[in-house]
Formats: sequence, structure tokens, C-alpha cells
Amino acid sequence: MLVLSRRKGEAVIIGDGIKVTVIDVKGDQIRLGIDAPRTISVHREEVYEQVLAENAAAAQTADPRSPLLRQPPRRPRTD
Amino acid sequence: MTLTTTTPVLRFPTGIPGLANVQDFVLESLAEGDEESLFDLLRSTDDSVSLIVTQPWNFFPDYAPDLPDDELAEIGIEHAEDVTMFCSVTLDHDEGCIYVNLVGPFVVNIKTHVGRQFVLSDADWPLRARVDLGTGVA
Repeated sequence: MLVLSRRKGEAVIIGDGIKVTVIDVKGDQIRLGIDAPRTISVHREEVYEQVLAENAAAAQTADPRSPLLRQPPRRPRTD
Repeated sequence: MTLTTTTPVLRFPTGIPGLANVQDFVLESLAEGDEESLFDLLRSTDDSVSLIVTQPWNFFPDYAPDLPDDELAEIGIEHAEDVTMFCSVTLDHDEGCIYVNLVGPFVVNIKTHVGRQFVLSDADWPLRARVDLGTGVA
């Protein structure tokens, strides 16, 4: 892994069209500004990994003949 | 209510995270006979992968994710009426419930049939919004 030191206000350029700027540093939290082409998706890693895992779980359980899908919903709730 | 009555090929140019590199899907209603279904099957045209999906408002009427304009523009969406949205469903037979993924809605341009899965990093929508199914408690 390439490791670079940057100060607040400094940036790194990745490839032709991606610029990552250190906006602010407070304690152990760093604010990054990311300029990238529209075709590049930028996500917080942990959220992206969760969605990826949930997609895989949904694919594994995707039985269109499941009796669950024939039953009416009870009281919805969110966890 | 089902999402479609026809089955155009939906193209996800950047694929769907976790589902290999599959881009082309069809959406098939799970309605049987006269019985409507709340669910559809998003099936890859090569039959390698499929997902059960639902319109999130079937279960979560208040769902109103804030979709970034630039990501909408990427699939050519300029007007809200150009959009259809659905969310994947994970089945849990042991618990008798399903989980609707409200963090990663699928958004499709209904004019071009191009879509992508959004990942809502900043929102508080649940990744696994539970819906209990079955008879008994009303």
C-alpha cells in the first residue's frame, strides 16, 4: 500500500480524474473531500460492505416459490 | 401491486455489489393466477443469480430516500417520474419474516431501463428492515 502524509488543505490525485483533499482534521477524525467522475462510486467502506453482504444473502434466499411470499404481512417494524 | 407487466431487459452497467459481474436482468412478477403479489423476481438473463424484490412502500409507506442528483444523472434520470425503485428482500424461514434492504435501493430509469443500486451512506434507513409474515397476529 502506498502511504502518503498530507496536511489539512492538501490533496492527492488518483489517476486522471480523482482528487482527494484533506478538508479538516480533528482528533482521530478526518474530513475528506472527493472529486471524482460520475462513473466512480464513492462509499463509506463499512456501509458498502454491509450492502454487498446483504445482496449476497438476498440472492442465497431468493426462492420465488417460498410460502413466506404468499402470506400477508403482520405489523411491520424496523430493527 | 407488481412493478411491471412486460419484461424489458434492465441493464446495470456497474453491476450489483456481491453478485459477480452480472449486468442484465429481467423483472418478473411473482403473481399467480388472479392473485397479486407484493414481490417480483429480479433475475439475471443468464440465470446465474436472482433476487426477490419489492417496492419499499408496500411495507414502509414513509420511505423517502434522498438520492444524490449526480448519481441519478449517471443513469440519465432528470425527472422523478422517470424512476422506478425497488428493494431486495432476504427471506428468513426460521423467523417467519423477511428483511427489506432500505440502505441499498435499486433505481431504474423507466425510459432507458438502465439502473443501479444506490448505497445510502448518510441516511438512517435500516439495512434489514424486518417484516413479519404469516397468519395470526393481525
